[in-house]
Amino acid sequence: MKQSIKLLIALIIGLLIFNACGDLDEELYSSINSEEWYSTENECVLAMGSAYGGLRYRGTSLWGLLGLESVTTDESIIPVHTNGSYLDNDGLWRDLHKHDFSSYQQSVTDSWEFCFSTLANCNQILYQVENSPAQFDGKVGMLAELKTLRAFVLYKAVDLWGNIPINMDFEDTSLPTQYTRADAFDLVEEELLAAYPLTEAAPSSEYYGRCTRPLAFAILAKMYLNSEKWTGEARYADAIAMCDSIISKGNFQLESSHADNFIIENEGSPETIFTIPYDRVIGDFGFQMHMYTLHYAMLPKYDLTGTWCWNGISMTEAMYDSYDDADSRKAAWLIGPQFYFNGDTLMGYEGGQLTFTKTITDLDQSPEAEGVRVFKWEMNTGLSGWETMDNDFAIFRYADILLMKAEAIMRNNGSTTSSDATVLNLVNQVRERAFGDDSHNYISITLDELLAERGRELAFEEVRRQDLIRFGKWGDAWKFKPVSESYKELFPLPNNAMNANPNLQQNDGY
Amino acid sequence: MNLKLSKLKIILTLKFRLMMILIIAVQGFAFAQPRIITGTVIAESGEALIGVSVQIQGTTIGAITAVDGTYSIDVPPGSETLIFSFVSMETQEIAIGNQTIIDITLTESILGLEEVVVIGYGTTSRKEITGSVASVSSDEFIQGDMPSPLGAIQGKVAGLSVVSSNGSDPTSDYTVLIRGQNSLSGGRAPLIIVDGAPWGGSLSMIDPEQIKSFDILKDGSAAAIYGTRATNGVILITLKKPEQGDVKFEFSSFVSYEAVENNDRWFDADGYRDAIGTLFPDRDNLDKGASTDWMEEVSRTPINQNYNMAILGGSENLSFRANMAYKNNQGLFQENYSNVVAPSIFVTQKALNNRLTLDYKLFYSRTNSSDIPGGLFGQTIGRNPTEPIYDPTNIAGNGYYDNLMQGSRNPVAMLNESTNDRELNFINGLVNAGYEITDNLFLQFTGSYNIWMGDNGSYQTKFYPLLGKTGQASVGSWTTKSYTLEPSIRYRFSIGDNHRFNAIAGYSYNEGNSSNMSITNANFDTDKFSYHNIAAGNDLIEGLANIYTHRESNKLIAYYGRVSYNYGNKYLASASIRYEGSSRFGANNKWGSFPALSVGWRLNQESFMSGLTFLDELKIRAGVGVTGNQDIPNYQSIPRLSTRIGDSSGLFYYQGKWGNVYVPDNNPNPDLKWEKKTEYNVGIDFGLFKRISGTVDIYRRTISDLLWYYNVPVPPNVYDNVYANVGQMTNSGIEILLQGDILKTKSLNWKTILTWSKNVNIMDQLADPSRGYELEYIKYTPAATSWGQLLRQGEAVGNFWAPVYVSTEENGTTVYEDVDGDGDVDENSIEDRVLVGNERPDFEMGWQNELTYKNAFLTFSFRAVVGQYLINWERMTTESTRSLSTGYNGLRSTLDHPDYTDQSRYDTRFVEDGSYLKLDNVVLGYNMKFGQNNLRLYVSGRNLLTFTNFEGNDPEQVVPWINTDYAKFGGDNISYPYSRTFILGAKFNF
Repeated sequence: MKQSIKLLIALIIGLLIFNACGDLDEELYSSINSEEWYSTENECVLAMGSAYGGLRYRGTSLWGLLGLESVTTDESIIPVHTNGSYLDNDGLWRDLHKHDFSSYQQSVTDSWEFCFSTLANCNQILYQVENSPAQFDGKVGMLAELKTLRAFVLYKAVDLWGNIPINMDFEDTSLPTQYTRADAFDLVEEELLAAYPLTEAAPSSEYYGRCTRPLAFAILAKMYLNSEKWTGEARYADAIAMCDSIISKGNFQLESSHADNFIIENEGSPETIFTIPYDRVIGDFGFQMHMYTLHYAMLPKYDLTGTWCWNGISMTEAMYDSYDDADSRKAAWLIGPQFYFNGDTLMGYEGGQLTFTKTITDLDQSPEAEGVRVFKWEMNTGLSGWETMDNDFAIFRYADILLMKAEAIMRNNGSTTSSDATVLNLVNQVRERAFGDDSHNYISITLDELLAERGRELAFEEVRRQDLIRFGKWGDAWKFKPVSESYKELFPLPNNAMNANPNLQQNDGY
Repeated sequence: MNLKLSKLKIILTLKFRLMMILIIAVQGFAFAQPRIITGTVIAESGEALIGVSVQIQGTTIGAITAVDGTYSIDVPPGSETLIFSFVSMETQEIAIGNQTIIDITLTESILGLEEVVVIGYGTTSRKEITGSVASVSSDEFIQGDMPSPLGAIQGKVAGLSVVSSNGSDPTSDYTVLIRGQNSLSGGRAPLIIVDGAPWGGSLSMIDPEQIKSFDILKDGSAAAIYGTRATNGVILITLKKPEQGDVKFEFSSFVSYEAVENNDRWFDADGYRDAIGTLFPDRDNLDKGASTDWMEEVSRTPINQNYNMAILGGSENLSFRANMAYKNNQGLFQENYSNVVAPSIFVTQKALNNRLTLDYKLFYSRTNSSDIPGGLFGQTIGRNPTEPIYDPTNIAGNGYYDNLMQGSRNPVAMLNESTNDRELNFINGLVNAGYEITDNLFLQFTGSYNIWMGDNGSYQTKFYPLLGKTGQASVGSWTTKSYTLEPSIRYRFSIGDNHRFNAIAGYSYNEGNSSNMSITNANFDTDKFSYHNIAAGNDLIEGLANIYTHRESNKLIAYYGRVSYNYGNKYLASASIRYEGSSRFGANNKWGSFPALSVGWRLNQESFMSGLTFLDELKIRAGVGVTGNQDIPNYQSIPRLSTRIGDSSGLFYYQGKWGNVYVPDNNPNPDLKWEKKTEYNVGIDFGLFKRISGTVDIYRRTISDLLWYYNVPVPPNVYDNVYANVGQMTNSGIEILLQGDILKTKSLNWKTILTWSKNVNIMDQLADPSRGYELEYIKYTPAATSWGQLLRQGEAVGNFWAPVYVSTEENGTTVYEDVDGDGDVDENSIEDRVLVGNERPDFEMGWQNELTYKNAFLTFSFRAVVGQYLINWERMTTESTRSLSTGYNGLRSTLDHPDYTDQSRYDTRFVEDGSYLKLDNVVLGYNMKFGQNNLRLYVSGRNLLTFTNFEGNDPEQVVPWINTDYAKFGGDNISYPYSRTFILGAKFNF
């Protein structure tokens, strides 16, 4: 007994001394204290990845850029189908299509979050890498790459909201001031012109999916082309020069078939300038066109029973009709009676064979099979759960650059119709690739025809909104959409961003 | 060490010798010899009382009555008074005079003034308590089948709300609240302390038979000694201890079965056919030809068994209590069961002349259970009753009928084609050492260790509906450990005769650790492995298997002290303080102080009140205390980088390969601190006519520095919100407890207890613009496609706002009222919605009755919760003809509204008054005595009757607190079917 008392007292005193230090620092096991990172080259490289993450998540999502740049246009529509599951989100897609924008809509808030959290992330990584003790060969190139990425999201923000708050310095913790669209434009241009000499000059498998010099040229080309619309200052000659910087290097060429750009394994395509790489092994969410567009009866056909679909997004009838029947691109849009691969008929839920039709009768109560479905990207089989499709999504393609240069030349000359050989040559490269031969080439082209050609070539690739605005058609009425006022060329600033920063002024009209 | 101890011994022995000399000297001067007094102590019923303490006032000389109630005590000359005391009886003081035989009848103290009440770090008597503390002892427990022992005190404590989270589901754990909800994002559960050590997890492995009493610290002044864990109140559980004496056995067991009420709210096959014949006569593909009662196919009548055996005994120096519990529960759904085996041992050892007391406790429990597949209940209840179960032509689907509808799974297939096993091992070890240095100075040391280890394994075969893979396996395990070390010192002293002080001071160290791991793999070549060869899944080869481990830890360190003052049992006071630090708080705010002060005045002890003989007790108490809440996630205050495995933004394509991404996880907040509650409580305890007693408490608590997520600009921040201490809310209320003997005769007794409580909540402040934290409102509770509840400054938490339903048009569009009259109806805006009601009740009431007639007893208890509103999820999601037209089953009430044709919408139609009155518990039984042995038989029923206007299953549901996760809406919110449990039980003590 005496022994155990001694032991007990020893234990008590021992524990008291041991614990009386009062050390309450938290010990992290499954995350890292960011103050302990960025000390080696490898750590810097790994941190760079987080800046690209947002692109994969919201870059192709209906609740991100796809919603703002496609659903709002005359190329796509999401009616509410009458049977079972459908994509409605309490009217969000119908409102977007009708240009009924609000600062509470999720596509608006999430796209904003994508742009600005990528910006903040880039600022932080740039700061940490610049100040890191690690010195390595690729450091300068890495900083330029991040600045290009940062400029890309700012270009998107200038396109979507125009008057945006910008902060380019991680150490500046004050509330960012709001730039006018013109000033923001200048800032982005400046950043790109400074960064591009330091970035990787040519595409390569090493730089696949990352920001390279051709990307910087492509962004600048877009900006200069839109400059008259955005800032009032026409800069079409600069746009032509930027397109030439890409074309003349000969690093890119059109794929032999349009569909080759959108197959599942579309890496290594010579046509893509900047892509968002996807792979189903990387995880959930991401590029989910299969969920947006398929009818649920089709899931077993594509071995997709472990996932969901919302029978939602379709191409509009008007856009579908604008394809000539000989146009190979028309095959990307699914219409007509559906069959299994072995030839059995595929039944719908409202009775009878599932037969897609192009006409949508009622936006609020559309029968299950109305709407041309989006099969532009080769449909993956065997996906389950929330897995993303494998197809990489091209943000910039060489075909777009060719069409842009043609447009820039026409606008530079102030013409609405052209028979200029250079212009026709550029457009016809795309046209021939689509038709397989020169039988449908243009012998002269108007701006309206150019817009329509862009629409057919680049459908659902998140460029339509920008094109419609530039060509002055954004405010027009089309089926299910009334005329919209000019202030709708900009989206409203999201409400939580306005709450967080009292310096911000909402865009006019909202 | 040796030297100190031997010095102490020398001092003690010296003192002892001196005392001996003195006593002998005094004895030497006495003229008369010490005499012996004997007698018998009985209760009012004539029953002999064993264990009554007989003590000579002013001395330590005492005796205890034997089994037959007799005692014998040596009384030295000069002794004047004998004190007879016994728990739950009125203490009596008798003048000795010249008597040699003193017989006494002790009367029951209805007030239990001598009753020991456990307060933090010590005990006191009910007489002396100055805070708001309620006690429930084991003879008042509700009997029967319950998921955790907290069900035994449901409705017995005013201000304590014990509500089953999912209606009548007997396996669904309770949500326990004391005095309303006191946080927005932090935990709202009270701190649970078992035998002095924090429990830190589920109580389900403790059988109520093992519990001696619950003491609940309700107000701030009582709970403040627990510092940052005490804002939601403290529940102190005391387990039954070893007892000296002959070896005794206590055995109790019961068998119960659950009777599920027939579900008439949904269509059966015939009703469904009639309905679609009326509503959709041209849709001939909805009637699939069969008649299936899906609920019947997947469920059974659960029969549960419960056995508990305790052996106790021992000598003065070593006593023990060994316990073995076994519980076997069948769930309502087939394949669902749970078995618990829980042995425990408790040893008390005394040594060094009884100066040293050592308590050791070792408790182990193992639970083996099997879960039902997720979503089974929703799939069962909503399935078309004309669908057959099997379809022999569906060879690819193993012969189950597949309705080919999105998200729809055949429930029989779900049960048969999946396995979900779970095992939980739990160990609790406690060491309590108390050393009496002198009569008034005690040294105490408590150390406890809890560890939960859970394992689970599940497998779905390739025929599991909508799996999309050929077999999927997942295994996981989690471990939570918590240990506490608490040394303390206690000192008791008096100044003069009447000023008595009781002080304690101590140190507390608590550390918690949790870790978990999981593996998922799919696409197996064969189902024969189940989940026992998880590497064999082909997904691993393709890089699609998932593996995961995680670990967290946290620490809590504190210094605490308390002084209690008692002047002649008339004026009472108590002051305490705790200085505590938690690892969870930001670097700038790790430590905080939590003081408390309470006073009490026993008016009936005053001379000017002595005329009022009907007044047994009248005490007025008042107290104020400050507590904190550290029940928030770990690591919020530091800047973290994490990987994002499993999310498409979690990998980065670099140089032709995928690699990990390290992403800043949060906006760190080094100023993060606890939420602070300051509470004022005023109470009256009274007793009248020796038959009625009660307590009234009135309180007001202000909780400031509430933690919530506030928008911050991006950039400069990486995320658009930060977790910050900003808001403030106030809860105030009244609690009344009234108990009395309606009848008290020799053979028939009727005791009744009534509890009533009301709590009012106001959100005083939600934002702080001066610090840059703006927030106009919080919209939460996803309901159908939008938000259901709104929180704004100046309003209560828990308000349901809904658009006002007007009508449904021909084409199915729902028309809502233009509430703000601006010509445009936006049903998602606040302006076009009205406040329908609040999820918190206006008041809660409990009414217990205990009737005894000779050896028979009948207890019945009612519980009422009135004024709360609920969303009727069932009606909201299925009371529309669209439910039927899309191939699902629907509610019969749809026929009353054939105009409801829209998709599921949230509006005034579906927010209902959920007030209810339940006949919770009825027990009818008989006590039999055979000498010293005791047998008690009973039958009992739970959840027997419910009176309510709520049209759903069971209005007893808990609304999840401030749930803003819209990704979760539309989930399995259809609640458990209404069921009653019937129990047959026996208890045998010998």
